[in-house]
Amino acid sequence: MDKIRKLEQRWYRYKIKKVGSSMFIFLLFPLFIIGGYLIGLNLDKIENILFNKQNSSSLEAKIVAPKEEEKNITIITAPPLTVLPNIEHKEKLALEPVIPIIEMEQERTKSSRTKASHRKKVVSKTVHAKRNSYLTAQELKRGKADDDISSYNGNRRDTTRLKKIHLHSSSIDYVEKMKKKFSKSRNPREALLLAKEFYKQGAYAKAENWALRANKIDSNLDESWIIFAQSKAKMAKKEEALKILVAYYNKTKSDKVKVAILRIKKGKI
Amino acid sequence: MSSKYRALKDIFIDSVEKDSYVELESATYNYKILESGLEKPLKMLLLFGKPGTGKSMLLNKLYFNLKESREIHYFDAPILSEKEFLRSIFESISSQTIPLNMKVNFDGLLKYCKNLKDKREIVFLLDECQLYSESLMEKIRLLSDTRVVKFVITLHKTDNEEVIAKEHFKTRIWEVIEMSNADEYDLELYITKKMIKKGFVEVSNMLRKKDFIYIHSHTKGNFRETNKYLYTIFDIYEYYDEIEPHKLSKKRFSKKILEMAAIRLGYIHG
Repeated sequence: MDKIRKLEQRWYRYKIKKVGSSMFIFLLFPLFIIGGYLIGLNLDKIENILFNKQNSSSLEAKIVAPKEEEKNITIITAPPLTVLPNIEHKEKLALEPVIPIIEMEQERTKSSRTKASHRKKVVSKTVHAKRNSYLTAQELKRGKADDDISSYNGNRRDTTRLKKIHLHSSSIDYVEKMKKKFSKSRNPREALLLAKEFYKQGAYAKAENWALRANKIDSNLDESWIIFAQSKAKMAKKEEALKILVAYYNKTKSDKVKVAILRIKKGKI
Repeated sequence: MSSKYRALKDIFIDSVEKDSYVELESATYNYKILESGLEKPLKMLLLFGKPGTGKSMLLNKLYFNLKESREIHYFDAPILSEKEFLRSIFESISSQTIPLNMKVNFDGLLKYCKNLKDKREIVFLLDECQLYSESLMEKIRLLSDTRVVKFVITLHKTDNEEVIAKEHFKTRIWEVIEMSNADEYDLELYITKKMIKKGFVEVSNMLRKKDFIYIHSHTKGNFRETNKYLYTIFDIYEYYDEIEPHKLSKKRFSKKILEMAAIRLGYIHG
């Protein structure tokens, strides 16, 4: 009789343990789900960390989600994507995550302006081939002083060749200049410009790398996310690119990012 | 008034009596192979399997079914002394009792068997042969070579015994029947048939599929373990039936008692 009672007590203990462990699992399960969800949300961060480890030991770039505060500011004061020359406004925007986009636009305009002015200078230095005409002595002198690329074929010049060489050299110069500039200033926009330049040149791995650098310094640069993802898409990592952009879009709801997502999805990149 | 569970638990006392044999598909199949093997000119048949898989039960069934139709002898317990073994063999064949002070000479026994060739065929059922010495096994082998004596032996399946089996019987055994544990379906049949056979239909109906699955999860379909488990279950049932009957449901089998028995036998830890 005593034996059975003792056995019954052991059974009660067993039941308590069993119910306790079931409850623990029951409570742990939603924690796992929530944890999984949070990990899913921050997958881009993790991927970025891993990616950086693989690509560059010195570069510890990570794609950081914009902070809530900053995000709020963005929502409240996000200006239209136009160039705003107002300095006061610029200072105000400097705190905002969307400013890089704006400044990117500015930068693009600036760069196009500088390019244009540079081109003008080049043009002013360059000797234009004149149809069925001889060069004047002054023109000839200027042409020689400028560079020795110009070639004569009788009294005609190969202007196409000259143009090509000029553009090529300017591109290299641009990259080098920007790199130097970036190493001094550590300005994310310069890194981003470099990323864009490399992207244009088709050096997608480099573009990805520079986009990451830009992102490391300022994680709120939409463009850095876009260039990063587009470079990935170009390197046949479309799914990864989409995953990264979608995760970012879910946080920022940026129209630019949305457009980029659609473009990648449609294979227009 | 004694509880019905007292009688019920007794059903599951581990024994190899003819009555306790339960017809199962797998057992019936093995039995047919064994029976047909005896008709063939084989010297030896080996029943091979882990303890509790029903080897002894099958041997017992074979003995009771064939004892009327042919010369068959069943050694349910191993005779470890060589002297005693040879004496038992001779006494079984000759139907004579040898005085205790006399010894059976093995060569004499062989000659005696050879003289019976084409006249008689005697079957010996030897259980638990893994306990026999190598020298005795060698004598069994030589006796089977006379083709007068046929042996059906059972061996436990362990690594060591497997080696013995290979060494001694590889050239002589032509029929090896491997016994294995019952699956869930067979175990359910085994338990139900056992209870119904003794008239406990009501209790057997209380057992549900999930209860059989639970039993199988602990016993792994081993008949000896199953008997032990069910004996313990009904032992606990008996207590509650007599002392605290209000704790027992009349419709469903008590999961609590199933678990209590499992704790008592160490299947689970309370």
